[in-house]
Amino acid sequence: MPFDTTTLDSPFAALAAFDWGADAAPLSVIDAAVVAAHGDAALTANLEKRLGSIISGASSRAAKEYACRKLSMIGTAASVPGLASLLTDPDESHMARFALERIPAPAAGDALRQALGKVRGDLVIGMISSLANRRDTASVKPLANFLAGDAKIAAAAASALGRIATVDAAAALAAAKVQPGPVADAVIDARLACADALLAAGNRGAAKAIYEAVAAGIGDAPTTRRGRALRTAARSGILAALDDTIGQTIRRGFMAAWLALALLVPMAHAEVVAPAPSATAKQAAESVLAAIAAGDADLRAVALERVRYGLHGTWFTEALVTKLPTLDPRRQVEVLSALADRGDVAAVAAATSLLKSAGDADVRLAAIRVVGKLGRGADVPALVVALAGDGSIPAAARRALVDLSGPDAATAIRKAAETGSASSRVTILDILVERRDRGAVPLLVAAAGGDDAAIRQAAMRGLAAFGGPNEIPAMVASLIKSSGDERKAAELAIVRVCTSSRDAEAAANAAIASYEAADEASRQVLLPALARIGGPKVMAMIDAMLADPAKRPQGLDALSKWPDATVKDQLLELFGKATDPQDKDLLLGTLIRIAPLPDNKLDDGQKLDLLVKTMALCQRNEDKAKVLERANAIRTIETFRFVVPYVDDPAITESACGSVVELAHHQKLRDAHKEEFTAALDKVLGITKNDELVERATRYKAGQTWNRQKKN
Amino acid sequence: MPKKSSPNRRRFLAASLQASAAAVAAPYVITSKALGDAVTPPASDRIVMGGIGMGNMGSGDQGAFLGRPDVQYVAVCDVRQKWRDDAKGRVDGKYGSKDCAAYIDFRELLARDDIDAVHIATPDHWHSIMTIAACRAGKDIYLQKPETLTLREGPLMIQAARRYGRVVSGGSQRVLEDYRDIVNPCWAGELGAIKSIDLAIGPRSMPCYLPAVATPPDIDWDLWLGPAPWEPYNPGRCDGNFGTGGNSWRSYIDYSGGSLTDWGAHNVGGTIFAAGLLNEQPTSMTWHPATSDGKEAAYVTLVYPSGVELHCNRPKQLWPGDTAATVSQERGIVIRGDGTSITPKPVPSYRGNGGIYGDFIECVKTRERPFRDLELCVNTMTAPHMVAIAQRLERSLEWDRSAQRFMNDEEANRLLDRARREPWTL
Repeated sequence: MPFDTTTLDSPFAALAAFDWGADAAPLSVIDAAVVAAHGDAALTANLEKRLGSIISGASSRAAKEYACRKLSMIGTAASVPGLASLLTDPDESHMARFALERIPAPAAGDALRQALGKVRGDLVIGMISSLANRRDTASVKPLANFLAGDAKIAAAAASALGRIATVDAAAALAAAKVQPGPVADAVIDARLACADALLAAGNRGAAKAIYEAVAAGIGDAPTTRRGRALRTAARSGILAALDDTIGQTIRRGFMAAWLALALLVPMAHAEVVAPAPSATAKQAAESVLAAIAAGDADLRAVALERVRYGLHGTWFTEALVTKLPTLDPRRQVEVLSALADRGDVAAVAAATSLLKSAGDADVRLAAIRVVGKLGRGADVPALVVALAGDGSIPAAARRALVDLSGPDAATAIRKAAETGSASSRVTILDILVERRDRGAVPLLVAAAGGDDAAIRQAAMRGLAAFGGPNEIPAMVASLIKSSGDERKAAELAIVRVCTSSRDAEAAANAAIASYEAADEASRQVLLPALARIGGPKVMAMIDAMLADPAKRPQGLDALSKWPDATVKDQLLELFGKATDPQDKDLLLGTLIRIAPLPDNKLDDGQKLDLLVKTMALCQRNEDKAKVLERANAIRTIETFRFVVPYVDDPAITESACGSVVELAHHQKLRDAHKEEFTAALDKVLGITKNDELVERATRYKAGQTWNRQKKN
Repeated sequence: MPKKSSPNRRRFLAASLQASAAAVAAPYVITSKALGDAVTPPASDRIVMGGIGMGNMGSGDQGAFLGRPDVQYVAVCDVRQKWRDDAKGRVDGKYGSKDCAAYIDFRELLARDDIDAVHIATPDHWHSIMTIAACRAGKDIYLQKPETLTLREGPLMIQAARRYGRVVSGGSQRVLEDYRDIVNPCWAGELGAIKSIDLAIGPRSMPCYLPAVATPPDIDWDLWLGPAPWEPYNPGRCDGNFGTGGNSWRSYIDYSGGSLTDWGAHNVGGTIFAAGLLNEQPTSMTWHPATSDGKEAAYVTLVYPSGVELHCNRPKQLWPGDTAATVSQERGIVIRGDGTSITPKPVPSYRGNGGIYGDFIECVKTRERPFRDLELCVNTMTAPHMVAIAQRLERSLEWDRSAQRFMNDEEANRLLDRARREPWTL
């Protein structure tokens, strides 16, 4: 169905009178029409005509800007004359370019080029910028003419030639006669850009000639950071031009941007083959090897970048490995680091050798990294030995064992977990968990039943991560065998499997079955875990205990561990009837804990209601403080209003201040009630002695965020 | 008095054209702490840093770098006087001196030869120009996300970073730190080969029609706008808060991609990191319009070369059922695999110490690539940029990565980039 263009009459009338701050709603009709114009030549022409009337009429700058934006999306050659007429207007020139730059019709490029001679100052730079973005090859000559003129324009023209990046553009830049300064800088940058583009297009010779010319102009010892960066660019360019080992991966037909990506993609294991290197690749390799040993840090960085991502083939890895023993330790570290990123397993033997023999700890650390990234099962014993090393070596070895992914690595690590000292076995069990090695579950089950408490705990950590219903009996057995902190950890491990694993419900049923099959002593050990898991079957058990005076303390203790707020009424009722202070403390603490739990059992209003009721039950300031500290988990303005009055209570003011600030952390809440928050934060700033709260309150008042510091 | 640049930018430009680009605006004075101590390395081993854009995220980044003993922080830059002064005050307070230089124009800061690295946290429309200029000046860069505003900027920024051998780290700390619950099982092979992803993603930015308000004296409005179209000052146009509802630059198309790219940098970054797609860019975008009965909202499906489908805001009723090979994340991310057995891979991590900031500093020292290397950030940002274009045009598109262009859709290609206001060029 054809678009009814009469519906545009009113919106365009509104646009003609539009200015910033006016109602923009009518413009949405034009927005929709522009989208609908895709493939509809008649509608496009209609819109172009209407938009053209806006830009040529007496409308405001805002209206003309809007029209230019729309023409940038649908404009054709028909819109070019109107837009071109704005190019000389300092207020409208940019937005006219905004449209013309995007219009693919050659007439748009012609208009921008013709305007070069009609405008002055910054407007010339604008035309140059748009011609560069269009990669307008017809502009090379006029742009070259600017290189000898006004410095700002000359610099822009040079940059544009670098963006156009044809052979002609490169030649124009090479011919530029400029004095040292910003224009010369721009010319050098542009020449490098041309060289990159030529290299990407496969013209290695032309690219290399430019890189070499730039390098010669910079000299061997640039004194500025900029000079060093230019030398880096030129030298790495020369190496890239020589390095044809990955030439076939260069993406032809696109700008130089992807050259870098094509050249610098790291080698994967499978890609490392050993083609015979060409003479130029050998030349590049010799340069790299020489630079690696030299004292110039920038050139070493260039060389090591080539080690990481270039000069593909085992032949070069072997050359590096041969060179390694001749280097001093600092250079060995650098080369090993680069070899780790290079990804060629041919480097592993040399790294393993250095791991065992190097006297320098940093070299051993770097060698461990290589083995971790590229090694295999056979390298596990060396890394296990390193786990018992000095300083940073054990941490590096641990990381390497976590990362090791070569052939037979998982099997070898599992095997290492079954032998050696207890501390070594604990470490390796933890490594298996960090590797998320589900194949290690049988090993973990066996270890969970062992005699060594540390090994049992490590095994339970693993089963907490990977266990399911089948592992519950072994975990329960381990729990019953445990005591003290081990028991607490074991309890939480079982809870995790029964609440968070993929088959949590079956795991919970398995835990209940274990309870029912256990003797009374074992049941007492297992009950707290079941209470933390929750569920109707466990609640029935607890109810039965509460009804039995002999088992009531056990039942109360279990209830205090309940995982959600569904027991709130039961807790309040029990608190009301309780006479034993210890029972009251237990019940009060449970109410404070469960009220704001983010488990969707209660809505925010119900959570706050429970917390308010709990506050009313509190006699001691320490309990009131706990209520305030838990309140900030309920992120509502009602919670804020509940907390704020307590800022004035000296006994619990710091807890109240903390919660006010925590609630203020949430920008949507804060912004929606800005005045209230500002007043409260002012009050906090006048009271709190906590430096972090002061910093946070100050930032929130200023509309800024605050980054929580995270542990590594 | 600390040395502070003149607000007259044109005067600086004129001067800079006469003087060497290496001119130092304020010397870095070696104090008695220069030799270092048990905690602080000697001055020669510290990374000398400056910050550009010292507002919300910039001040946070500054705090992270300023707190490091291996960083010597010497300069700040902002077009707003208050943020500039506050930032300088934090540095001077930290070092007990008045040596921190404060600049309005970033080019003055970049012209200092003593500065090794900068962090950039300006509005997004400045990121590409500043990053490329910093690369040319030989600086390493910690760049806040979203790293790009347009699709064309990314390759040009990567090109500059690689050409000049610079370390450029993107600024989404969340990618590694907040998505462990989806990253770990994916990299451990527990889902098998990843097949599809559902992702909640925010709205794109919108045009700004706010009325003109008198420009306050403490902001260089022309420099704040920079390459963006000239529009009158309004505080809602340039406020640096995180809002995307119209009271912040993050709301508006000239300065930001909106929540789509702001949170997209995190959520898409974390998701494609988990799914192993960091080196890929989508090949197609399928536009699914809202149903006429209003029951299903519009959404976009991106397809990656490896075949993974990334559904952005697909209505939940269209989701397939979860299987054992499904992981989800509280921010609205669901990743589904085929359950096949695949070899686990070690999860990459930061280098050095101190999170993403420490990773950047370590790489400045070693010249290795950081965890959030610019190239990975650019790949990340292609997804939200493409979603925005598909949404704007309300049609499906195909992407040619090697050409960095949409196939068979010239109108979509018009949206790859935008003309920059003179005298700013890319």
